Amino acid sequence: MGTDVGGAVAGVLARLYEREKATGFPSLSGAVVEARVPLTQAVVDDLLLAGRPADPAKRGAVQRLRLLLLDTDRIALEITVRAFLFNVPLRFEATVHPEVRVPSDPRLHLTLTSGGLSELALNLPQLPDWIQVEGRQVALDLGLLLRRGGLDWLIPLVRVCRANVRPGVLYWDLALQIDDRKDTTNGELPR
Amino acid sequence: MANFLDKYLANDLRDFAGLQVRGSVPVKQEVLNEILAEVLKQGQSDAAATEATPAAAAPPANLDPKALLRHVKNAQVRAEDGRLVLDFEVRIDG
Repeated sequence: MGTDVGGAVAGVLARLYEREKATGFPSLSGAVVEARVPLTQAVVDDLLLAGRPADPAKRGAVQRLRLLLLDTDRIALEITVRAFLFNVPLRFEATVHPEVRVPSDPRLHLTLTSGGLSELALNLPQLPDWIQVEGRQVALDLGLLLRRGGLDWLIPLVRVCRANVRPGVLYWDLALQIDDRKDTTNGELPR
Repeated sequence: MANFLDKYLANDLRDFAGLQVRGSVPVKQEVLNEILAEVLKQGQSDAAATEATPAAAAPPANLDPKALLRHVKNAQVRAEDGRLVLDFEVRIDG
């Protein structure tokens, strides 16, 4: 048997995961998980690059997008947009509202503290759709990003979601819970 | 995204230093029995296998379960209300 036991267990777990994900994790009801996930500036840069074409000609209007983790609950958004023949760099600083109201409103809310509001308004149509702007209020739609990454099944499980920005690191404090429910399956696993 | 995962794994997850996950996960006996059945089935097929049988697909090069297990700081199982509960803590130290 040897090392194949690990492969067999991994195979079962992978199948279980897919099955449970599709049905709301009924076999794991009562599970509670708390996590602190640090995302360093390098990881945030990677995440923003993921899925974007390497070729600048294929990037559309937004040529570059960077989220800088400045200080306690302070970030900067650097965007380079193509306007006519030129690339125009824009920089906005914002305070972060740490609480994310998941599952009802899975968005990280920011308030712009510096940067040209008129410049942002002018370039609104070119911003990615997960960045939503209303006056000085900006919302980063994490729900939309999770859906695109195939991870939206996580949203209904989240009970606490807080973002804590420190210099160079964005900490996510999360609590997930799968509600305990009465077993009506008579011992049968969902298929 | 897969490229990034490979990079983080190759770097021994140092990009995520400070990560902490802890929790309690109840596991139904049906799930445990399913895992056991699969392990037994695998063992029986191994015993019947000949040298000509191709080996199972290898895991991704950077995915080393032993290396990942280093980050598991605590794991224990307890029985509660007719089910097993797995308590665990995972931490990536800086």
